[in-house]
Amino acid sequence: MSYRFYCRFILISAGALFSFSPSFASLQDDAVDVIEINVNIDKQGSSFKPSLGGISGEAKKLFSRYLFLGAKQAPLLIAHNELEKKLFSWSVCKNGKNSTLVFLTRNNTKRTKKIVFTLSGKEPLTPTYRRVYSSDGGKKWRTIAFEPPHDSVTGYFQSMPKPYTIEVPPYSYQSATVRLK
Amino acid sequence: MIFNVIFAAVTAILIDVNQSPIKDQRDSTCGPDLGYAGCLTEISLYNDPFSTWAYGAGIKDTENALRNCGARFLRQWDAVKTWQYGMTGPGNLAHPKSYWPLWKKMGIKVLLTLEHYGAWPDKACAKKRTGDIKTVKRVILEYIRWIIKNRYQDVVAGLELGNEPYFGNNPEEYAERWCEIIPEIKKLWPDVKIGMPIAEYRAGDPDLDAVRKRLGEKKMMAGGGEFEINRFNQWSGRFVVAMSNQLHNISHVIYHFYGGDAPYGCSQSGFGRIKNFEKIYPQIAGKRVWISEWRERSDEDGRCHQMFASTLFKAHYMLSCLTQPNIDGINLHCIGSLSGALNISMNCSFPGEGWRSGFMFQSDPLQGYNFYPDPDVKPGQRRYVMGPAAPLFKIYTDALVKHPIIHEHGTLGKQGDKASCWSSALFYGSSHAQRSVLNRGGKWKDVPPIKGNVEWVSTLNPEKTSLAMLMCNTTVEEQKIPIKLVNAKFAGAAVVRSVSCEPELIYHHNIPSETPLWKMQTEKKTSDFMDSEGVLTIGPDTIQTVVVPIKKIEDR
Repeated sequence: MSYRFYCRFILISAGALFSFSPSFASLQDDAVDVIEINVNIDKQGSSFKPSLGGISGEAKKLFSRYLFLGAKQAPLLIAHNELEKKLFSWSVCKNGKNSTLVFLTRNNTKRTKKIVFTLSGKEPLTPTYRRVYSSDGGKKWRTIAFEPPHDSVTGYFQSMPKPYTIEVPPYSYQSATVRLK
Repeated sequence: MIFNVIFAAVTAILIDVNQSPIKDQRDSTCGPDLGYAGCLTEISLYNDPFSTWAYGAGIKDTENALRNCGARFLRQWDAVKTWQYGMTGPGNLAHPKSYWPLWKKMGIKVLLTLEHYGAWPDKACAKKRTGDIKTVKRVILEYIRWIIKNRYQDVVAGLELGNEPYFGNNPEEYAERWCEIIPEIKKLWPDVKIGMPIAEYRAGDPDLDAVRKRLGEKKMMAGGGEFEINRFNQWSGRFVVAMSNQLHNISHVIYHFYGGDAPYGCSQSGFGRIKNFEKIYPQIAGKRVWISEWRERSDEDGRCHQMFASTLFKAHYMLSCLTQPNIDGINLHCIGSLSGALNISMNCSFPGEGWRSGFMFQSDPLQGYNFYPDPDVKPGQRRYVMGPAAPLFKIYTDALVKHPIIHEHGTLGKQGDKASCWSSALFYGSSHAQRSVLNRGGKWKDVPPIKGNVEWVSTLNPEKTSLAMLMCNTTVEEQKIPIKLVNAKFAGAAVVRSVSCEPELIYHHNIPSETPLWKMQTEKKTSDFMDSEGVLTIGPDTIQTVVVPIKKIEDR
């Protein structure tokens, strides 16, 4: 099956690391890898088969909840890639109404990843992150779920600021749900 | 690094137990005065007849939820209609006999909002509703008699003469109908507290904007600006005048305050507006006040209240309201997710999609609903999950119930008349600037400093053998504040209950059914309070109560 999208790596060395929690600062590279993808929401997609293969122990137990919830929210796979000898992979799924995307990521590296995506015909709202992460290189795992800070002076959630970016910390398994309008 | 601006050096808090208190909550029918608008009898949206479950099969869950979210004072909209229709059921609305006994058992107080626009003329509610005043009066009095007959008077905090009637056009007619009904209510129940709603807006008030969107421009006066504001303010003035011959039966004036920024109601400005209206209309001067709806913004996406920063604002505002001698009950709008209190997992029906269990959040009307799936329940199961505002109410109201004497108020370095009530507005305004930077992808090191403070209210039990400090710290550092008792000494270990959040997570939005970003803690402190001196320690971005036994010096 051919996908009507492309991706490329851009390695960016940054002096500071963008992170949503101070707990990510401990065991990570300062570099940030940016992956650019074009999400084709009109692609038909194939039935997404969630798998916990390659994840073990506490991380597997914690991530199963988020993985299967993500699969329920967005059961159609429209994009997928594995990189860095399978240490980093991502999948993009959608629901049948083209109103929800779920970005599922596995990052077993010590580098932060940013998925910068483009989308036509729809605008993404603030993502809901459900994340299993480790601050010690994979020994101990914790969970955190949140929507990131939003400049909602009026109280109404607006679209994601551009460029549309999904943050993927090092040593993390994550589901990021993005509603579309 | 995150910086904050601390307004004053830390100086000791002085608590003189013989000092005249600000007020005694035992004089209020709404005690502990901090409450919610709504009481879970509202007919649910999204096609789920939620109230029949809440006070039926789910009543144990409801009792636990009300306890855990500190719900001791509630408000019921459209109380007469809810009672009348509920009495025919249960249909899709809980029967009154299912919830009044629970409220009584739990000691909950409820403000009942009566409406006189119409009533069903028959008990079965099968005939068309009528606005005929004789029928409406008859039904309202039947309701009052029902409350009295079933001995629910101690549940009733008071009666409101309608919800926000100032969006109507004829205050004289509105008043005339009430003037016919009030004397009859008073004959049946002479002591009942009755409140009249007042609107007192300023230009730019966020609630007007929200109502305009809801009603549509045609239904609002054209023009905007001062002309529009004056329409609502004039309605209120005309209403006061038209109610002249019943003002002796009115115990309270009622305000709805929306807007956390300095010019708006949920700040020191709101208290000033109450005083200002009394000056213009002295015939209501001296009446007590209910703020039966408040929130830092008006209609909006309910996810905004899933931030702990919103809870911190609420704590500051609630403390400032406690210090107002003339204000009794205040009701945060509302008990559901809209205010960050109870997230309710409902059985929701979606057109073309069938039923799903999940949390529905009121959202931007242009974008529809916000639905969060609830993965932890079976299909059709309902449950409650505490939002970030719930633990605030829990710890504050638990302390107030046993310590109803509101004694003193202060902020860092200032207390009594020297302490202002601007902390909520200053924190709120400076939080916009921080979130702006973060939303654009900025880092914490780039955000401007927060204008945080420590605000506190000291309360006592009636015997003056226990002191409860209700506190909020919106600085980003732990604060250690000396406290000194006058005419008393500390007499035991303190119990400290706190709810806090890491400063870098206060603007993150909690996701219902997932682990909250805030945490609650209870600890006993045995060595911080000795003789008549002690130290109050409060962490950054923390709300807490400190309850410590004391002994008056002459009792030794």
